Amino acid sequence: MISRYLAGQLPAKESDAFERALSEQPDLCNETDHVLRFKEGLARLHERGELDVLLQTPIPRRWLPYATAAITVIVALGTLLWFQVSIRAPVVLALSPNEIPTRGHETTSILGSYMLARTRGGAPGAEVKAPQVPGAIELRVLPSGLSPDVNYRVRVSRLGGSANGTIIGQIDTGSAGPDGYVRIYLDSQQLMPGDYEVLLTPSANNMATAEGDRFVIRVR
Amino acid sequence: MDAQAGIEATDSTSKSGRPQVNLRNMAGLKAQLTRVTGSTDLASDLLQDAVVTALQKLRAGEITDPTHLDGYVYRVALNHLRNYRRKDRAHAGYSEGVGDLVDATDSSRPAENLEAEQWARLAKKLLQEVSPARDRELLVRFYLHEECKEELCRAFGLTELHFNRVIYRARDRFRELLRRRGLGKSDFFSTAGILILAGLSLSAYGIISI
Repeated sequence: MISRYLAGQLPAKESDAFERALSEQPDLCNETDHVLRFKEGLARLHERGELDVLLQTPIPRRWLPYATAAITVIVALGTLLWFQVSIRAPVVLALSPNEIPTRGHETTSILGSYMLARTRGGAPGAEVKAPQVPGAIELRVLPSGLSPDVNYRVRVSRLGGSANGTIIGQIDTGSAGPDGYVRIYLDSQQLMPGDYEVLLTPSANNMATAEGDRFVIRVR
Repeated sequence: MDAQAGIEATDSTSKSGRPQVNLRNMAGLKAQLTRVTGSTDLASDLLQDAVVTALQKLRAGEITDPTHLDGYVYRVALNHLRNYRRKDRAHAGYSEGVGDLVDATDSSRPAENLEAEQWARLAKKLLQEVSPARDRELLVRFYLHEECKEELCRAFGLTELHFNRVIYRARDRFRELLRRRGLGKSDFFSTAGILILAGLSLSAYGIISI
């Protein structure tokens, strides 16, 4: 009503009634003056060119900082959880028996040690006994190249069945030890009975200098 | 009684039993008068004229209840504003409401400017709080450009109820912001001065005591 009166939008009858009310109602005068102040405030903003900005700029929501904080916390917790899951992910292949996690044991015992070496004639490989107790199975792989300067990579994958070709672990081992063997350790509890391919290859930098060796182990 | 106290007195009757002008805050009205006339002095004159007119009406017995004297002053002054705006529309091709009127920022009245600048800050704060953007535009088009309610409802696809709600909330919030800044019923010293002068000049009539 006040704004319409001020804008001259009220019919004559209502306008007269408003003016009469102005004389009799102190609060209406106050209200009218508040509207006039708001109009003056807007007019000043308009003159300074601030109104266009105010009308176009998306107004930051009051809840936005809280939502941002909540999202940050969720992301942080998610990242932490992901890392913990990653850390706890089963390690099948390791360079040291102590890298294989055991529950309630400070050190990991070596349950068996097997040598893998190319032989003339028969298929290279070994039968591995993997008891379902926590521990490590040592594989000593003899590279056919016998070059001390070559760094190796070992990859273990399933053979046969529906999981044929599934890589269960891959690790850079560095060069062979002083005895000429490359040593890796398998987690006994992660090994299911079946055949596995153990592939010893020079790491990417040494591809041209040495050949790979393929072995098959049968886990029982 | 000092001049300021005389203006702020809330009793409508002085100790002598004569009616007093109980000045309400007319800061917004004076600012708009200044804007529409382009002169602070002219705005002051118009306010003074409103006081004189009201006092004459009172003397002539046309104002039956002296307690309504200040409301009557406001009414007359508001009429001056509306008359000037009508004239401005007719002669200057008025199209965009008070926002396009002459610049009323008169640096010779720093106190008045300061107060008006505070209103601008509060209006800005209010707009920053209003969401969605459509409601901000609605307020500007209604209050500043004085577009009519029906047109705005049509343009924004709003019901009258929704429109009223936006306007009511904005007005309520602005009132609250004024109150918090102590500007809700602040006194406008220049207006007080006008009334003092008017009172002095009319005290001879015996209808006002200062």
